[in-house]
Parts: sequence; structure tokens; C-alpha cells
Amino acid sequence: MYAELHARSAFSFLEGASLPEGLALRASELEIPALAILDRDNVSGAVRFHLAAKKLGIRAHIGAEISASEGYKVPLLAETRLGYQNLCRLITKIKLRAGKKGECAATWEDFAEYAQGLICLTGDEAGPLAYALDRKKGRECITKLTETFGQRNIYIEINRHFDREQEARNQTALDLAKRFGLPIIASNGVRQATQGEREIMDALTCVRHKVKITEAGRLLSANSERHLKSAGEMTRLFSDIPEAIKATLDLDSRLEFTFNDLGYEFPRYPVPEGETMDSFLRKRVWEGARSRYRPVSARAERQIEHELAVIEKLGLAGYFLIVWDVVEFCSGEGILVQGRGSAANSAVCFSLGITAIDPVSMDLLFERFLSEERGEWPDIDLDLPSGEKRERAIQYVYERYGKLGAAMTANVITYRGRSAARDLGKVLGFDENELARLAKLVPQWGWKDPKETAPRQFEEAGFSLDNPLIKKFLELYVGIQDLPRHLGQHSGGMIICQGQLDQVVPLEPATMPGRIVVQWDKDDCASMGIVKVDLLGLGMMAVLEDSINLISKHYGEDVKLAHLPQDDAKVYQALQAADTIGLFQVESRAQMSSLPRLRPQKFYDLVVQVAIIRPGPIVGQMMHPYLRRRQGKEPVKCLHPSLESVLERTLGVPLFQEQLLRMAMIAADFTAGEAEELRRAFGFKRPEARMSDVEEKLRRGMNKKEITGEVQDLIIQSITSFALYGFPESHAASFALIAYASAYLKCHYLAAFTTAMLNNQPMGFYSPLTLIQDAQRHGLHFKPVDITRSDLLSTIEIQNGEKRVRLGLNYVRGLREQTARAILDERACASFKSIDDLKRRVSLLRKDEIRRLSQVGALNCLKPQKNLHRRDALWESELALRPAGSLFRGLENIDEKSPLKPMTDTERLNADLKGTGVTIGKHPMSYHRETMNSLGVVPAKGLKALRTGAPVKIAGAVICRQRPGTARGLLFLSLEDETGISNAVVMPDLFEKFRFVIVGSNYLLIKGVVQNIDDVVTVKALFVESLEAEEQAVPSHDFH
Amino acid sequence: MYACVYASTLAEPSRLDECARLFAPSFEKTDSNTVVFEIGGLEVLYPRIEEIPRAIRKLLAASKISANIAIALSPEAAIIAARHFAGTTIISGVTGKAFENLSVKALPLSSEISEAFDLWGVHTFRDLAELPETGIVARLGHKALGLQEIARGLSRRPLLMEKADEVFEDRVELDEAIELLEPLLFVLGRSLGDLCKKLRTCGRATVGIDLKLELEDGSVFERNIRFPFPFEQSRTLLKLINLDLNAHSPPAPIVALTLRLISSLPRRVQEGLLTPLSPEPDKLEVTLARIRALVGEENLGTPQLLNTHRPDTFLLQPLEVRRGLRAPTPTHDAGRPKLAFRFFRPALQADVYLWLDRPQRVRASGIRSKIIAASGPWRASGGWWTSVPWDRDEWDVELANGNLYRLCREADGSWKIEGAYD
Repeated sequence: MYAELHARSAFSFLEGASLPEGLALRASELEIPALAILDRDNVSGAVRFHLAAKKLGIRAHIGAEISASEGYKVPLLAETRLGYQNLCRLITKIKLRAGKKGECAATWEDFAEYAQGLICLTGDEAGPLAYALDRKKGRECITKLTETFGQRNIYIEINRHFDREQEARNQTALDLAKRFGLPIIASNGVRQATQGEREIMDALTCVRHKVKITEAGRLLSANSERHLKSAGEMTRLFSDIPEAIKATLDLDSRLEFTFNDLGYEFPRYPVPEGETMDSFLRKRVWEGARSRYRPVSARAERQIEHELAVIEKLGLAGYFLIVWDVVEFCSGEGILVQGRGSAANSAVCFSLGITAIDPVSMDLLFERFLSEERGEWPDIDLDLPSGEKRERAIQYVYERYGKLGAAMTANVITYRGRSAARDLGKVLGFDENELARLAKLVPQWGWKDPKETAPRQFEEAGFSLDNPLIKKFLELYVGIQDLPRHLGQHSGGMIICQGQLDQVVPLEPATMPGRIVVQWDKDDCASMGIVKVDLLGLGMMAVLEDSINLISKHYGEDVKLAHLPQDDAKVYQALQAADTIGLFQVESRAQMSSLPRLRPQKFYDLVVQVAIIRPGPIVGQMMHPYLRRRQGKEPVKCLHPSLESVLERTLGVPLFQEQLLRMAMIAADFTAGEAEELRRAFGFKRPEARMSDVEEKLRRGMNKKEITGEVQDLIIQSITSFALYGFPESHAASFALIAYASAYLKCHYLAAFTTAMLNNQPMGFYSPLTLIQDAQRHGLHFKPVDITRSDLLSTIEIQNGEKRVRLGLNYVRGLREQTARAILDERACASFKSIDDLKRRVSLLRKDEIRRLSQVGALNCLKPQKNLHRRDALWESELALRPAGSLFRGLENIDEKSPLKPMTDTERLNADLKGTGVTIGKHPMSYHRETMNSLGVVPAKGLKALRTGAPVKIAGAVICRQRPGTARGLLFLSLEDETGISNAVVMPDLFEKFRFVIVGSNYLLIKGVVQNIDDVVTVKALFVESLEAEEQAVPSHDFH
Repeated sequence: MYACVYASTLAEPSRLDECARLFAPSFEKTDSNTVVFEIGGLEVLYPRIEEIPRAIRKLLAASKISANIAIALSPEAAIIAARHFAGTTIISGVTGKAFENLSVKALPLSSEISEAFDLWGVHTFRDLAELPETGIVARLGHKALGLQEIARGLSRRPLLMEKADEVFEDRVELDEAIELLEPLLFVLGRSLGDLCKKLRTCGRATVGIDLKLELEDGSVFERNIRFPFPFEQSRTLLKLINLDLNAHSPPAPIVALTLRLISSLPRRVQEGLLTPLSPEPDKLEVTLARIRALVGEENLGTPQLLNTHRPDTFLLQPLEVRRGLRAPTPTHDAGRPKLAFRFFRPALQADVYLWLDRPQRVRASGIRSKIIAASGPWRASGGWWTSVPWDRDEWDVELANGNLYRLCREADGSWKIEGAYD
């Protein structure tokens, strides 16, 4: 028997080639009873390793190789829980001290401080002993190690990789072991699970050192021996020192720490004396309920009591209070906050102000959020305005629970698609051109089974699989998939701990200043029972908040989102007409094409609308039946009479996850917890055994209720197919609320809403140019960037009693924020008299910035008496940039009137698009309208008048190219002209034929036939050609 | 007046120069496709100006060169006209009108000036010509003024003349064919003497010799000898030719020879006061040539170890003698074997008898013995990304007679004795 107690996984980030699961599986195949993974300065793979090992019945030991300040790596194993806590604290200390991501080093004082409970191996060629032996200081090294970790906690590690130098070192190490009376332990210094993965290891080494494989030389492994070896192989290798093998088992038995005993405690919320967390929560909930339910209905009361009882039983009062506390902080600071996801199923969350949806009146299922049976922590996601306000909420949590008490969860960035292709391409020495071609291949490859499609794809791209390098590339590409590349930061997940979080998991600084992340991702945290709060940034929340402030300032009205008028006619008119550019969740091309069919008339319709354009309803073929029933084209029928109450509001078509849970509860007598278990069984991973167990249970339940035969099959089919993609109703309702608010603000306060949208870019589906064009079509006027009037962000100006949007300086591309602020500061002191005055007073202004300001017309107002045009400004600004020297000082005519001609319309448009990305003038297509008319092109707004089957020509600037996975290769194109947006669909064969034109042209002319169904017009393309236009390209939203 | 010839595609740039040389003793080679020369004085041969481009074109046609030809008052105007107007263009006066619609991109613009012109809407020569001079200078400097002068047709600059390379070449036609090396060297010696004298007169030296021997059977035998240092001594050069011809003899008697020296600047070395003396370069080169003649060209050079785990992988770099360099101090390396190792080149093919996967006996040319101790295997592999990956095991063995050898088993299972430990 042999235990491998020094292995590195791919979580050593480019210094290990196998995932922890792969190592555990291989160990189990080789009948290795225990395995220890010691990754470089982290335990990021430890949870996955623990879970995989548990499943396979092998003992998982946790440790890490810690970088010492001398440059070597000290392998440490956690013997006890205290040892693990010390390891976490040691890593945290050196990582936070380094302050810079990826850099850290421990001193011997650090090792001494956290040595308790840890066992130290002397390591491989990168270890402390090898380092010391190279310097003839072996004895000093061993003395230092024994003094630091204790005599009985040092093991002299011996590796045998058939290497002369290593063996010479081993002999010296054996002598030292004898001299100091220390145990010798065998290990294989594992870097990969199997021999073949050495190639991946070598490739990763090249990525790490940024060298080509042909130039890596001795950086690569000398041979392929550093893989997991069986007890037999290891015993043979160490036949001369059998005690080294035996020592592995002795040490294995000493290492008592496992992740079953992590010691994590969720923080307790501080409550006033005489209160418990449960009693305090109860009070807060009833306070909130009374203000939100006016009055609290008996049903709501029952639901709240039920939820409180479950929360009390599960001991989760502290969690709810902590989330409530964050929401209270945001409300106090005027930060918009709204819970999303399954939390909206909870009446307690609604009462605490965490969510905005009343689950009682909407009949939402609490167990989708929390159930006694599941034994899992609930998950509350809070949407906050993206940007600085969200950061304030995050920093509040850090401050409240201490730097070592709260942290963001990590996001493990893994090799996928293009990143893998690019890195490997560089390693194998492909040139830039080949790299670009290889990277382009990626989205088209059928990665699940690359062998099927790769040769053809490669040949089409001009690569032959007969070329050994290309073949190797493909092998490595497949092998490297899902291997961790580096540790990032999750977008908003925070974990909080009672006491010190750094004893549970190491913390490290994120790239972003002020942020600290744990070394586990959100799934690891969930697996370890660590509760998480997601503080997510939502651009639309920021827009809503900014809009409300602008409305208060410029309209003198105090708008409260919670009290927006319901069922506003203008809102529903806009939704029914698919006039939704800029609106939350309902603005995409797909949403726009379904809105006139669904014709939302009330809030719940909007909830359905948000949920229906999703892969679930589309793949599950629920969308069209629902829309047909909605339009009265198909009778409403239910799968079974007993399910009517569940499916009634969605016209007999299951659309939401909650519905399938309730279907299982009604049809098969599942408890709420069992139903949730069913949803998970048919979720993304879909393990066969679990699925068939649950299906069997469903059938048994339905048989008992005498639902049999075809109906039973139909119910089973709809539940099982839908579980994968279904959208939670509570989530849809939360989003629908925001969608409604955005529609309301756009319909009633267009200037404020548009200004807020322009100030929170990038976000949403459309570019600022399209947002401006749309607002102009709705009658809003814009004013250009003007150095004498513009603020940093866009603002509202009143002219002749009418609100107009003034573009902000932030729209001037290339103008640095610090320069813009310097301009504003100077302007606040005194207005600028001339370009020369501007240049003199704002010394930060660079040549390119002043040129760009002149080019976009921002300096036109600096000499109103001379009626400056953009070229005049350019002429003047060039002089301001080069003050005349003594030679020219006497010349009178250097400051003469500009001899330059004003820009033409097209030049001005191009200057706008190039300099700001937007234009407030005419749409580029309007300059071609005459030509378009002569070609018989129908403008976007004229399309509705055409009937299905009519031949048509459309033309415009391409603003969207989409080829969704659910559309079987169809390509959807949106073309914008001065009258609106026209949509075209391109069949796969036509796309192949015109691929170059479609992808490469900014302006297109499409000949096709009209499909006008329910007022939704799409042109089925038959021919596509590029329009030769002098105008710049407009931004396009492509292939997302 | 100036003529410019611009050939948009050109197989042999030297043909264009040859044409230019026939019309003017010196000319400007603006780029590989463009030549400009003065045509003043040609009126004696060609009384009407139109005849000049006609004559040039005729000559070009003979060389199968198709080109634009332009004649103008200034070199710049001629160049621009030749590059942008097809066929023949003659601009007898100021170019203003002729060029006014040309894009400013035809001018040699810096990126900064190009960006400024773009922003100003200055697209053509006329746009540029119309701008006030002081305004331009004040904003974009004198360079932009120069561009405006070109646009206005007022640019006046001298030609930047191309100076023809001195040729150090001698051809000797022999009355009788030479069969032996000695008389050949006698002839070569005389030629070399003359050429080296010419070299020194021009302040030049040579870094190579191209020797073309025309043989009695009608074939040509060529040798191209290159040196790491410039030489100017005919005696050394003759010795080097001698050694080279010794190693590579012509297959038939010689009837004519052409000797061409590749000229370069002479070598100038300031010796340091404390720099140890090293061999004179010409003597060293002669010695090396002797060795080369003995061992073959491919076996002479400076070995450079390659960065790989594969043992004994090196490359022979051309020999380079650098003065004042000391041998690197060996770094202390505790793990390395303490014995010196001597590679057998080539390695000895061997038969090895194994027992329990360990070598027991070895047999090779001159070696046949029982192995009394063996340590290994020492394993290395690599090149997995190539079509010839390698994989090998090494054993250090002690034979009965006490000799220590290194055995190697390649991936194909063959055994070699790679060398011995001294």
C-alpha cells in the first residue's frame, strides 16, 4: 500500500496539469487509498478534491506549497483543523501583505507563527532542502525546519524520476535523515494524473513562461514520470528504502483533518439585549409586513408565520437579518436595491423590503427558495445600480464584518474556446495570422465531440490535420479545456463568517483595489455550507436611480418606484407596439418580435413576456403554443384537470419552474422539498441514476392518483424537459417590475430616461447612437458636446420651455476624464474666451484631445462673433498647440481668419461618429434616401404596410447580427435607417453564400420577401449586397 | 529639366539603373522602382524635348521594362508626375495646374501632418497650395511648407546622386589550358596582386572572393570563398585560394578565369593595453582553412549546446574569435557527477544483455565484458510536438576491468556506448 502525499493539481495555475477530480479518479483506479493535493500558495481546488475523493472513497488530505522569500516552495500538510486554519491564515497573510495579485512570499517568522498543526515535507527540486543542498547548507536547512515545525513534523521527501542529479540529492538527503533521525517519505511529486498529460504540463509551462515550445528547452519536463503511480510501481522504485513507502501510510493516518470539519459559522446579527435573532427578525418582518400589505391578509399572515417557522427551525434568522441590514443601508444611502431570483418567492423577504414582489398575491412557491428537506442555505441576490453605488454597498459589508470577516467569492477562469486556442497557438509557434484563424474556428467547433467536426473545420480554415503540429494543437486543445487559468473575482457574490473568515479559506487581494476574494468559487462555498449574498450590479438600476434624480431636478416631480401607477396605458401601448428600445429585458429583437403577438395588457403579461424569450420555452416548444392560445388561435387546454389551478394563468402551457414543482406536487403528491429535488435532478448535470429514480417516483405518485397512460407520459415529458431551462416565476416577476419601471419612465420622462441611459453606457442591447435616434423619433431634441456648456456626463437643458439633452464631455473619444474635469474646474472659475485661452488655462489638454474637441464641434462656441465652424476651430487650435516663437511674433497674419472650408454634411457626420460614436444630426442613411428611393428601397417605417409574400428591398446601417443557438443556423439582421429598424432573417445556406458581405459590411441592402404576421414584419433575405457608403460604421451588436 | 522613370513592377532593379546611366553619368535612385536624372545637354542629341522620353522608352522596351516617364522643371515634380500619371508626361512650366487635383497622399506626409490635413479637409494639391504660407508654418512647421512648395510646383532640390560601386574584378584568358594548380596559382597571384593594389588605393579591403574558372570542356567551375574579417594582403588571399582549390579541384583544364573581390571597409582594431595577444586574423584564417580542408567544412566551428534535456545536443556555429574574452568560471554544482565524461564520436553500437531489466553484460567493438555495477536508468524524453519525438534511458556501468561507461537505450530499443568516464 502506498499513499501519494505530494501532488499538485491544475489549481496551481499553470503549474499542474490535472483537475483535482482527475487526480482523485486516477488515484482510485490505481487503488491509492489516500492522496494529498498541495497547490501553489492556494487551496482553490481543495473543495472539488474533497468532494471527488469522498465520492470515490479515498482519503483527501489538504495542504499547499508555500512560496518562501528565498524562492523555494515549502510543502505543508494540514494535520489537524488548527493546522488547516493556520495554513489558511498563513496564505492570507502573505497574499494580503504582497498586495499584488499572484505575488507572495513567506518569511521564516511567518512559518513559525503558523506552524502548529502543520506537517512539513522537505519537497522536490523546488523545495527548501534541494535549495539548501545546492548551496551545501543541508544541515542548516534541516535544523531550521525542525526548529520551526518540530522534530516529529518534518519528513525527508524523496522523489525518483530517473534523474541523476535528483538521485545524487536523494543520497545526501538520506544521510541527513539518518543524522537527524527524521523519517523518510516517498512521493512522486505528482504534477499530472496520467503519463500522457505531461504534454499538457509542458504546454502550460510554456504559457507560464511566455515562450514557444521550441524555445522552452530545459523549462520543460525532462521526462514523463511525474504522474500518479501505483503502490506496486512505487514499491519497486523504492525497493532499497521500504521505510519510505511505509511512511506514507503512517503520515496518512496522522493527517486527521478533513473538510467534514471546517468550523464555519455564519455571523450572528447583533440584536438588542433581551432579544434573540429569531425574535428580532420576527419583529422586523411584522413591521415590514404591516407597511407593505395594507392590510395583512389572513393568507399572507399564514404564509409569513410558516416561513418564519422554517427560518427559525433552520437557524437562518441571522442570514435574513444580515441581508435586511444591507438593504437598510442602501435605503438609508438612497441606493436603489431589489432582490431577484428565488428570494422573491418569500413573503418574509417581501416584508423585509429585500424583494419587491408579493409572493402571496402572485401565488409563488416558497419552497423554491427555502425548504427544510433540502438542507441547503438559501440564496439571496440583490440588484444594485452598477458602478460606484454598488461598490459602496460592498465596502459597507467589508466594514461591517471586518476585512477578514467578509470577502467576495472567486471566479475560476478556466481555459475555454478562444483563450485556449490563442494560448496553445502561441505555444506551438503559430503566427498572428494563423492564431486569428484558429481562434475564429473555435465557436464553430462541436467541442463536445471535436473529432466529428474538427477535420472539416480545420480544412476549411486552411489547416490540415496531417500536419503533426495541427494535430497536436487539437489534442492539447481538447485536453486543456476546463483547466483553471487564473483566479478571478465573482461579479457580486460575498461570503461572510462569524469570527475570522481567513481561518476557513485563504483570502487574497483582487486586481480591483479595495477588494478581497476568497480562494473558493461560489459552488465551492455552497458545497462547504458557506452562505453567500450576491450584490449584483445592474445597469438598469443605475438608470432608474439617475432618472429619478433627473426627474426631481428638471421636472420637479418626486417619483417613487414602489408607487408607480399600475396599468399605465402609455406603457402598454408602447409594449404592444414593440416600441421598446432601451427598456429592460424587452428590447431585444426577439422580444420585439413577440411583443405585438403577446400584446401585454397587465403586469402579469409582462412577467410572461420576460420569461418567454428564453431558451427554455423556445427549446421546450412552449412559446408558440402560448402565443397562439393568447391570440385565440388555439383552444386553451390543460394536461390534466387537476393541474388547471397551476397552469390556468399561463393558458395551460407550463412556462415557469414553479409550475413544474407544483405539477409534481399535485399530480404525484410530491412534497415541496421533493419537487425542488426533482428540479435539481433534471437540472444541468442530469445524472442518469438520479433522473430515473425521480421519474420512477413521479410515475408511482401519478399512478396512485390514477393519472396514467398518455397523460402521464405528457406530464412527465413536460416536467423533465422543462426542468433544464425553465425560468423561475419569481425572478421573471422581479425583472418585470424593473422592465415596467423603465417603460414608465421612458414613456413619461423621455429626456430624463434617455439622459440616464446615455450616462450608464455600455449597457443593454443597443448602442447610444440607436438610443439617440430612437429618442429623436419620439420628439426629443439633443444638443452637441460644447466646451462652454457640457458637463462630464450628459445633462438636461431647458430651451424655450422644452427639455433637451446636452451630450456630456465623456462622449468625446480620447478625452481623458482628468482633462475633462480640469476643463470643468477652470470653466467654473471663468468662462473660456478663446481656444488659446482654453489651452493656456488647461495645461493637461493634449494635442489629440484639443484636435478631437475641435473635430466634434465642441469648441465652436468659443468665438460666437466669428461664427466659428469646426474647421475654424481646428485651424485655431493647431496654432494654440504651437505658440508662435520669436520669429513669427511680429507677423500679423498668422492669426488670420481660417482659410479652411467648413465640413460637408458627410464629413460632419463622420467626425461625429468617429469622435463621439453618436450623431445628433441626421441618420447616415438619410443622406442616401434619394438613391434608395430610386432603387426602390422601402424605409423601415414603410414595411408594416406590406403584406406577406410581397417582394421588398430594405437597406440600412447594420446594428445587430445574431445567430442564436436555438435558431438552427438562422441569422437575424437588424438594419437601421432614419425612420426606424427593419429586421431580416437569413437562411443558413444564404448566409454561407453571403457570409463575407454580411459580416464585413457596415451598410447593407437586402432583397427579399416580406413576412408580416401579426404586425411583426421580417424580411426573408434572398440576396444581400454591400452598400458603398462614405459614412463611418455605426456600432453593431454582433453574434451574442 | 529632369526626367523621372517609374517602373511599377520591375523584375531586376539594376536594369533601370543601366538605362539611366545611358542618359546621364549620374542619377538619383529615389527607390528601387524610380530613377531621376537631369536632361540638360541632351538637346544636342534630341533637339525636341518629346524625343527624350521616346528614346528612353525605346531603351526600356529593349529591356522589357514598362514604365511611366515624366519630364518636369524639378526632380520632385518629375517624380510625382511619373508616379501618378500613366505613360509619358511633359510639364514644361510650373506644375500648379497639372497637379491641382492630385491627392495630398501623393506627398511624403508624416502621420501628424497627414492627420492634420485630413482634419482640415485638405485633400488635394490645390487645397494645400491655397493655404497661407505663414499659417502653415506657424501650425505645422517648415516640413509642411516644403510640402506646399511641392504642391505649388515650386520645389527646388538637388538630385541625390547614386555613386556606382567600384568593381574589383579581373579576367584572364589563357593561351593554353592549365592543368596544374601551380601555374594556376601563378596567374591568380598576378591578378590578386593587381586587385589588392587597387583595393588599397580605394581604401578598401575584401571579405570574399568569387572565382570563376572556365574549363576546356565548356563548363564553368565556381568557388565562392568568404572570410570572417576583411583582408587586403594578396599573399594571404592566394594561400586561401590555394587551400580551397586543394580541397575542391576543378574537373577539367582551365582556359579562362574571372576573379572578383567583394569589397568592404578595412578592419581597424585598437588593441587594449592589457588584452592578451591572439593570433593574427590572416594567419588564423589560413590555419582554419587548412583544418577545413582536412576535416571538411561541416566539422569546423564553435560548438554551442542546445537548450534541451537531450544529452550531447549541440550545433556548430561559424567560428568566431573574440578577443579579450575569458573562459566562463564554472559554477558550483553539487549535484553533478564528479567525473569527466568523454563522448565517443560516433557512439559505439552495442549489444547489452539484461536481467530483470538491468544491464548484465555488454559487447561492442573492442569492448566485451561483464557489468559489475550499473546505476540507472536515467530517463529523458522530449520533442513530443514534432514528428520525431525522442525517448532514451541511460545507464552508468562499471565493467570488470574497472572502466566506467555510459550505455544508452534509444526508443527503438537499440543500445550504444556513448562514452567513458575518465
